[in-house]
Amino acid sequence: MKNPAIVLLNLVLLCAAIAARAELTIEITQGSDNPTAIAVVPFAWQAAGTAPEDVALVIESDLTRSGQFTPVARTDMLGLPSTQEEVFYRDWRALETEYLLIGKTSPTPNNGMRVDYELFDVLRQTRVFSGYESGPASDARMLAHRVSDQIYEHLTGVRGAFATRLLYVSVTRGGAGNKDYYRLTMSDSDGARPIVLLESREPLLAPAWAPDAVQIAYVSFETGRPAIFRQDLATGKREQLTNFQGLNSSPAWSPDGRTMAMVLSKDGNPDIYLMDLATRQLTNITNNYAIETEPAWMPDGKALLFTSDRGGKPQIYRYDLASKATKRITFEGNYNARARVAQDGRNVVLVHQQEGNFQIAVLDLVTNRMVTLTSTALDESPSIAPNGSMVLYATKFGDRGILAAVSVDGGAKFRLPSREGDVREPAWSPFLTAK
Amino acid sequence: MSTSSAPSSIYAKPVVPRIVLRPALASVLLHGLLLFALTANWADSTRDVIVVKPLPKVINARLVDASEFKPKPKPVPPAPKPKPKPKPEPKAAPVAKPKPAPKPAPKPVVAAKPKPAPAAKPKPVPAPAKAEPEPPRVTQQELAALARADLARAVAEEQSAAQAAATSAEMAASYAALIQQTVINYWSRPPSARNGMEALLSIQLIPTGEVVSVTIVKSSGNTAFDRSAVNAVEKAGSFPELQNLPPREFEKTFRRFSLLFRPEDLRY
Repeated sequence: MKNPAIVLLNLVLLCAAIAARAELTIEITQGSDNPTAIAVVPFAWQAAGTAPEDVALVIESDLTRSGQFTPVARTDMLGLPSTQEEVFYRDWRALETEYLLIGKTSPTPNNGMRVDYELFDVLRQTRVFSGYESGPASDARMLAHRVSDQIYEHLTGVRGAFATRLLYVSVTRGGAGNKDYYRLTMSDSDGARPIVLLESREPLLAPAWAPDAVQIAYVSFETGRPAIFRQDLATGKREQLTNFQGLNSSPAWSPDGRTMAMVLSKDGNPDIYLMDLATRQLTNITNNYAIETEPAWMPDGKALLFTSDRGGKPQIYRYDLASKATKRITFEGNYNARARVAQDGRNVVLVHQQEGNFQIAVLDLVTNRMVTLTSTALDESPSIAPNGSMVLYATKFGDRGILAAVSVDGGAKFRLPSREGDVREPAWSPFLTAK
Repeated sequence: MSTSSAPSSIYAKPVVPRIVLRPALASVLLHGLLLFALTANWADSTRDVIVVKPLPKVINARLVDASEFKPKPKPVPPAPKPKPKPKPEPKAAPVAKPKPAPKPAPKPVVAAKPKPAPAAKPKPVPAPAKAEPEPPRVTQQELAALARADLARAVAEEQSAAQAAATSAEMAASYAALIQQTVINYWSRPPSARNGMEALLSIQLIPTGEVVSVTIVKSSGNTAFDRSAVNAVEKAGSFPELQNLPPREFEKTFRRFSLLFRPEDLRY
């Protein structure tokens, strides 16, 4: 008699306990991805006169270019704090700002400069983090890019690639009777501070970075025919690597820096060769009657992608170094060429022809989905940022060749300033510092 | 203890099992029942706890429910509410048609009216808005906005009637859907976010609908992702619609609840 009662009681208690514990859980499986609003307050200059560089402006334009952030206009700012005590969260919340970046710049001995910065979360009214960068005052813009990298990584979870460099070739038309003028130029990732590395009356082509970001390679016609050169950026020392009959083009450094893939036509038609940079020994990896060109390494160094017309039309193929097997990887459309692989080994950017237009597309190697990123007609030479977030490419604007960039999700686009001539063949550097 | 001291008697033996048998039986029964209760409750609680994914459907259901409550309560509560004829009539007309047709049998007046939908339309105020939810393909945002506006109005107009009729589960589900949609609108994921990441937040509200605390119960392992989830709730700031909820219902479900952020719509 007693037992059933106890059973019942137990049951009731148990049910009550479970009911009390069950808390409503709402699942959020979608979002509306909008740029994050950030206010970058002009940094205070801790000395007499004015700062040599508007560091905050450089940071603000970096973050804006990424497409992940929208800046708050300086004219809307209700105050210009440079220390935590001066921050009134209410003011910033009124501007619907999510994050607030403030900072100070100060001169240091020997023409140095120091940038101190603090990032605040306006919604939670807390300081997210703070830090500083220092270096020569002449490098103020690079210090700013390094701050941008820190902010970007903290807020997006992806390493920033603002403190990187670009290589590109610009051509100034010589006019009647004169030869064209070629310049190999290196600039900051935002196109600022261009430095001419090489000038020539003969064509310059295909600049490429070594993985250490200290050496570069390119094709120069200065000897009267195409030859691959490498050049040390620190010392300026140059070295000619190839001088073969026919085509010598498309140098591509392996991720370990020991091998260079290149296109040579010394044995008849263009094929992909690997050169051991220590021994200068060559290996032909595409012994084929078709045209093979534009090699690009997978980030693990175990395979290469290249363009081949062995199927009748240019398509991207993948060559596996261990198995020596070649496999076609693009099947959409009649023209896919000049692949470059992101550091994640998953996204491949390439030139894709669609309805007569040459556009930049990104191919996901896992899902095999191709997405066209650009909408202009003559886009070429895509190069992907070392963090995989942006693609730099050459395109036509009016009748001039210019550089433009698009984010890999297609959301953000911008054009790089170019002063004169046609700009082409951009190459985005690796990260300048190891992590 | 008697078993050990008197092993000599043969008849003693069956007695012992019989004494053991009943408690044993009871014990088995009890355990079985406990087990059953446990499993049954788990199933029940999960059904309760997790909001169904097809979001528009939830909102749709809510739309119908809100207006549907009017014809239903009529038999039970006194006249005062149903009297204002202009209101219930147009409402019942387009919306009540699909679902409640079988239910509100008691009132022939209302039951008859729902059918001539065009006749109800000319009535000026609520008719056009009411007619909209019916088209099958409206964008999710429109639907959400519509649902919100509609819910607020419906609740304001006929609060007590709706409360009387709505079961607590239906109400909780509709307000949960509202919170869900609001948070979705504010959730901006960082580029490092990947499908399948999970962050579980615990949210505390006060009866005005204001968020008073957001804590990360289970991190996704990606701080940028976690922060985006917290920011989505912080940006939403408050869910003032919850003020329309009866206090008992608020305390039961929304004083403290969990939000599970698990993207499924990213590129990868």
